[in-house]
Amino acid sequence: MPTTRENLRIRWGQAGWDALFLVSGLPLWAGSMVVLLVWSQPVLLIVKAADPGAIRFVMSVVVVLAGVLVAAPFLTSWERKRFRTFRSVEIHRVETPRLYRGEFRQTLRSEALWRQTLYHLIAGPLVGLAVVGLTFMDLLAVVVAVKLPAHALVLIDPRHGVSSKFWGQGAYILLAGTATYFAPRLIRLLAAADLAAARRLLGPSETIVLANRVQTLSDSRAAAVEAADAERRRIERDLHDGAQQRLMSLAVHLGIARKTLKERGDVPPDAMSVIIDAHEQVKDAMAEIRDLVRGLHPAVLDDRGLDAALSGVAARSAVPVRLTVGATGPLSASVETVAYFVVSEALANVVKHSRAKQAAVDVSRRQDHLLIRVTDDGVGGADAQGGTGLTGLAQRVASVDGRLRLTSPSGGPTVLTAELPCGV
Amino acid sequence: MRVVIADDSVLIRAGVVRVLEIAGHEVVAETGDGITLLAAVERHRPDAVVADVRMPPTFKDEGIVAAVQIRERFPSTAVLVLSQFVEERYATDLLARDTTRVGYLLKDRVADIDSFIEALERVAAGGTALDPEVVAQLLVRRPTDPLDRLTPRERDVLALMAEGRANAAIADVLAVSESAVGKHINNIFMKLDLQPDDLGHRRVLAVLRYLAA
Repeated sequence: MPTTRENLRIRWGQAGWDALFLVSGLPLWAGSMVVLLVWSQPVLLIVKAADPGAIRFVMSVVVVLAGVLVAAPFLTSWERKRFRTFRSVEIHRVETPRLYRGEFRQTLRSEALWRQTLYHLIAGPLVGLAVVGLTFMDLLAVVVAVKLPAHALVLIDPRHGVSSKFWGQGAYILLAGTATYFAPRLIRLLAAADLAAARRLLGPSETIVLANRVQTLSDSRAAAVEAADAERRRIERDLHDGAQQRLMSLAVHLGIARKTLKERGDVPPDAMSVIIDAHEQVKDAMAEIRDLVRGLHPAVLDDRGLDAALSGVAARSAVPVRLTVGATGPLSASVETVAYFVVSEALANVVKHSRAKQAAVDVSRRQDHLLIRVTDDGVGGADAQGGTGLTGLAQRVASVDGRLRLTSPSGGPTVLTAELPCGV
Repeated sequence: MRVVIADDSVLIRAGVVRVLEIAGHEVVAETGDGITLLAAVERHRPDAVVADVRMPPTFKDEGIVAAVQIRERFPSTAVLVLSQFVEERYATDLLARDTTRVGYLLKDRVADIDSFIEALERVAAGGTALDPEVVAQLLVRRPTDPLDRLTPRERDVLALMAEGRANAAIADVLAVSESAVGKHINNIFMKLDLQPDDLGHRRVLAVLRYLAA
């Protein structure tokens, strides 16, 4: 438990920093405070409506406003430095039009510049006035507190009783004392208010921040998806140039051995059966690795597009598939890859879970969407949340802002629909 | 028979050369890309070419492009295209003009020495050899059409016809008698509305209908 003294020290210590921070704003606001005073004039002048000075006044308002609009980017840059130095807060830069370059129309439309102007003209000076006001009040409280004992002798006259001035000054000391007592809190409050105002008015608006964030996220997601695709291509190439060729060479040599030894006819039957087994196994291995590689990223997808690549997937399926591909128009590589993956995974699920006799794949373009429908006549009851295959599929579809829908009543049929936006 | 081989993998080239030599064929040239393949064919005028699909410089479909050019410029040279993957789209390119003297097989098939040599010799003799995988790929694209009227067995027979096999070979594969195959083929012709004028001609038409997109 910190003692009262410690409490006080901490409070005044923090308040000291806040005060320093607030005072650092005063020079920047000073100019604007003058502007604020000028601004207060129109109210007075509008009261005296017929004043010939009114026109001169309106002119001066326009000139001052123009001045702040011109100065706003520079003032903002100084403010940003101030917040960085005293608060370690980074207020992000917003590109604003420069009036002195003649960007009038942009200036009128620039929401960011007007927000900055609002800070420099109103929010900053108001905080400044409050700081100055608080300082004066505290100083006065000290002065009065020092003078009061001397006054007390005069004000408390045994002949006339206690003067009403005494109570007045006493009340003032009480008020100022309270203000001084709460000064650390008030200073912190003002500093927080300044920071909040600056964040809201000097930095990018929430909409812009969100828009930037969305842009950054979708860029990085696209990059991640592309990187994953590139990785699949690389693995496909590596297997094609490496393991597949070695397996093929091995299979050919075993095939030659099998043929020549069989023709010689003097090989013991059990030795021969070993060679035959080895030959069959290496052929199975080739078929397996071919299926695996095709599932990764078929070269024909890059070469001849989605339509051509789907023939292989459909033909490989253990459940007979009828494939219909309409005119899809040009598609981006990532949409083609996802579409290929959807068909490939959906058919794998049909084979694994549906007990279907027939499946159908329909791919068509519906305005700016690629529509993929995979249906089967199996037992149904597929659950989008259940199987890992379907979850992965949904994620892959979502990676290009697509939608995946599954209807699979118990007893079938199961219909899986993926809609992938293709842009225009 | 004199053969030119094109494959960018030395390992695979060596394997194919060995298989061809065992069968008593002469490999007159080995190349590693499509352009030198064309030059080699021009110089050696081989009976047959065995070419890979993915070769330098782009590693896409050089082999198919070269094969199509060879078929145009040197019609007497048979072309057998080998690949780690078969694609019906490439098959359609290869067969676009003419379905004779052409083959398209998975590289896996080389390991079955006898049937590979048989396929190469069939192609060189003016026939076709299509990988069952390509045929399966073409099958998935059938919309509702006369082929639907075929029984599964008749489809099997038609698929084997498309691979370029004769009736005896089809009977062998399906383990039925040759006359049974003949009966199936007649049913196929009937269901595909092919008139009985010229047996050989009808056979090609049936296969073409089967292969047509």
